[in-house]
Amino acid sequence: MHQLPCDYCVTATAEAGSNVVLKADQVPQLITAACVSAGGAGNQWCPEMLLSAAVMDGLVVGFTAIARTSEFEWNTVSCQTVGTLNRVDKVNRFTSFQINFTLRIPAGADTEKARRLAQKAHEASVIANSLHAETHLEIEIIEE
Amino acid sequence: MQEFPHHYHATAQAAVDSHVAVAASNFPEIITAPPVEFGGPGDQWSPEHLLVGTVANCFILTFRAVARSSKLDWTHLECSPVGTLERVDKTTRFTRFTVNARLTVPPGTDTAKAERLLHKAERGCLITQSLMADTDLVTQIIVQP
Repeated sequence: MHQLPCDYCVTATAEAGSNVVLKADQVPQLITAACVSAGGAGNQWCPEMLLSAAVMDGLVVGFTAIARTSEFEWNTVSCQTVGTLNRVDKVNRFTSFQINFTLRIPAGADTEKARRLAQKAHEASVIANSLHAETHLEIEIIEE
Repeated sequence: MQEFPHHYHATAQAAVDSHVAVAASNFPEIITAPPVEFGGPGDQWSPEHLLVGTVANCFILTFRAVARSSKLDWTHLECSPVGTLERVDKTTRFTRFTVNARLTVPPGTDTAKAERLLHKAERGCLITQSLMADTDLVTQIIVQP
């Protein structure tokens, strides 16, 4: 692993009436806009959805790394998250994230180990750990 | 605006030998992978970059709303936050965001007002308000000739 601390930079640009374009090093650009509730068209990623996606993505990407290190065999993972934005002390901020994590593993694989690794990925998630919001994880393990 | 709370749904899918595909509503899918620092290929969005990008996106959209309500004309805004990931008390998390904002405004604009509104946008950004990290705003205002 890279030495910490390390820095991550993304550049966003916009004209007065345009979408917001996100760019970072060699990654494909990402077009973003305001949410429908804030007057957006509803066909591009908005900050609220991107944050919810980042929280969940941190868990899934982390799980794949932990499973590889632990030499744990798995087939697929699917994950859904619901981020809740609320007004607290006169400030709008995310207060909770509910994450449902479904892992499909080969028949005969160690389901308890699968659950432990998912929980470990959750506890180590750098995105969730960077937020004030509470994160609730539901894990479902399915043997195929 | 709708009454609070608001709920935002997103999904992710991955197989053993694939990148992680993130989706929501009818938005274009985002393919993600670990960042280079954690063994990733470096050519896809990572969770870390998505978080930093969200800070940038939210800052610009908040500024747009603030500028509209304050009747400030502007032509271009570039926001380049730098998020610093550190290990603190046995937890790896983002500890600091330096939000670099470069605003271009038409000739004759009240630059002091523009500066105030940039700071107001930083305080009103719901993403930075959701983060535990400290945030510093560094502004540059360019008046068009």
